[in-house]
Amino acid sequence: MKGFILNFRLKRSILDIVWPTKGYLTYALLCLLYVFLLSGGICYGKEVRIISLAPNATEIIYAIGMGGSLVGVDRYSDYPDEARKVEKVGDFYSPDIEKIISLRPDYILINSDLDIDMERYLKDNRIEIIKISPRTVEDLCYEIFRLGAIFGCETRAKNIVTDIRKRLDRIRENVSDRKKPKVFVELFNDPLITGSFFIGDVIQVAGGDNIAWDVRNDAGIFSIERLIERNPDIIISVGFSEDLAFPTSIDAVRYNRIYRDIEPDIFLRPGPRIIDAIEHLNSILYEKN
Amino acid sequence: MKRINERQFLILVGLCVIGFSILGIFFGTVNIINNPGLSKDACLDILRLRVLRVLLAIVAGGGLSLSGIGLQAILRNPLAEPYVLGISSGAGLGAVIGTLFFSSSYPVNIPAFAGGVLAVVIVYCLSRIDNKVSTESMILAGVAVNALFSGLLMFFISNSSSQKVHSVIWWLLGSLQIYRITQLFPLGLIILTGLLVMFIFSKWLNAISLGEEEALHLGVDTEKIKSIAVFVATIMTAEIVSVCGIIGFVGLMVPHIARRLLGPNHFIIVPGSFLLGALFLLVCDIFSRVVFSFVELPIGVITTLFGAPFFIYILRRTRRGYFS
Repeated sequence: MKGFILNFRLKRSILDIVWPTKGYLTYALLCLLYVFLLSGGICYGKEVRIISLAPNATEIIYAIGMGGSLVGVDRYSDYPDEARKVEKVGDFYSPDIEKIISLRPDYILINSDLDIDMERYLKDNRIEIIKISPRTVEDLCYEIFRLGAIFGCETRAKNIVTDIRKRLDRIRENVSDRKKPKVFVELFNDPLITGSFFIGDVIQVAGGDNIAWDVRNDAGIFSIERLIERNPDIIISVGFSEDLAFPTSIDAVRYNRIYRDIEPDIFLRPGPRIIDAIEHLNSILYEKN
Repeated sequence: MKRINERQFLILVGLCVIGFSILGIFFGTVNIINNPGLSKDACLDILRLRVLRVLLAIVAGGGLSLSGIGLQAILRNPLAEPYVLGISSGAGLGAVIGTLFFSSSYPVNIPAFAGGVLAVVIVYCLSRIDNKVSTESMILAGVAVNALFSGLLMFFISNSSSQKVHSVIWWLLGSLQIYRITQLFPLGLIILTGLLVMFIFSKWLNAISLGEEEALHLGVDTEKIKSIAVFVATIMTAEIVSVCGIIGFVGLMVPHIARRLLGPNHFIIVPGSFLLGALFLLVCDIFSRVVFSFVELPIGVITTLFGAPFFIYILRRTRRGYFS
């Protein structure tokens, strides 16, 4: 044993092997190797870590191909299936701050404003907060572009937006010269809740006319009397309420045009799948004309 | 000017209720008089819905005030109101459980009703010591059960999917609009029975509001009266909550106003508070439909916004003891 150590010392330290004093060519080559390894290390360490606190943002992130960088999502992010396996960090109104910090994100994507103190705290910790809250389908396209630009996935983002725009154009050509049916979206029945802004724009681009244009909210109470007065041709009931006995003087009731087969997660989420909902809606609106 | 007596006052309030009902039927969010854009069918539908709404406002407003007057008399506490005993949080919890664990086609008001009744039964059992229910322990137990049920409510809300949470929160906002006459029948029956029971009980309520000792000396079986009155008040409130959601402040405020205006005699203030409650909710509802027709506020917001200042005014104007 003693002999071995002695022997090793005789051969001097390991540094001599790696850092040769003789042969300048070897020296130069090794230098290059170090620089290469070092730069590779920096690139690898720079991979972004994203937390999404909104299901629609999660969908956009996966669509532009950054799904692998998601280190945390909110509880409601359930699409695509991979999103279910990502660590859950609570929901948008009460995210788990300890979990967020422990996941060391560079970016947090939100749909509605965070608590102001929490936001300041996160910003102080050099975490960038990006709000994705589109009010129209056009806004949504812009947001997809923006995220693509931030995360360096411009091409994929552009492909998604081009696809959405192409399909929208096809719908627009289809409906341009027809009379627009009046549409009412029922989110809940007691009290009667409907949506405006994004939902209104989705109806608009699908070729319908949202009769609840004056609701000043994403979801607000709508008077049943107004519903009768404005007399929608079509009622879209987005699922989670019991049957509502709409009065029979409404055309949608009289001609049996109340639809319940719209998937709420696609229809109400301002994400890349919205174009599927728009096409579905369009086929409903114009199927009998 | 000659002061009108209580009986005349009651008749006056009754006439006001009828007058505002007619007003409520002909005026609302949508103008139905001289509106060429509206078909006759649509007009009839709107009228039918308004009649239902007006009837519900009368029944719910009256019922909430009745429960309030009963509970305040029995518990001899000016802060007693139906919701203090945990009915609202119980009903809310029932609604949440109904929404989360049953299919969406299942009406939410049955579990809500069950939750409200359960809350009060728990309160009653907790405050029952040696076969006697003391009023202080009943209110304390009510506060505790309220807190427990609110906690459970938040627990379930924060542990469920977003759509279901939304529908529960929307349901809790409450609304006076119903769509079928069949929704009104059970409620109407319960409130009418409640009114009758409370009226018959007026004599004993008078005695109990003097003090339990005094009532016992007068030969009143206070325990029995207390339990029946609490039960009736609970059933009424739970049913109202299950149909309209939570309408705050009516059950607390109207009995006080009735007491201030009509004196301590329950033979007068029981029908009086029923009529005043009906009138109050009716006026609030008309206000919400006509003045705020562009936003459509939840009815609970309006009752509180208009009730609170008026309540303060009444309390400041006539400074008397609570049960004098």
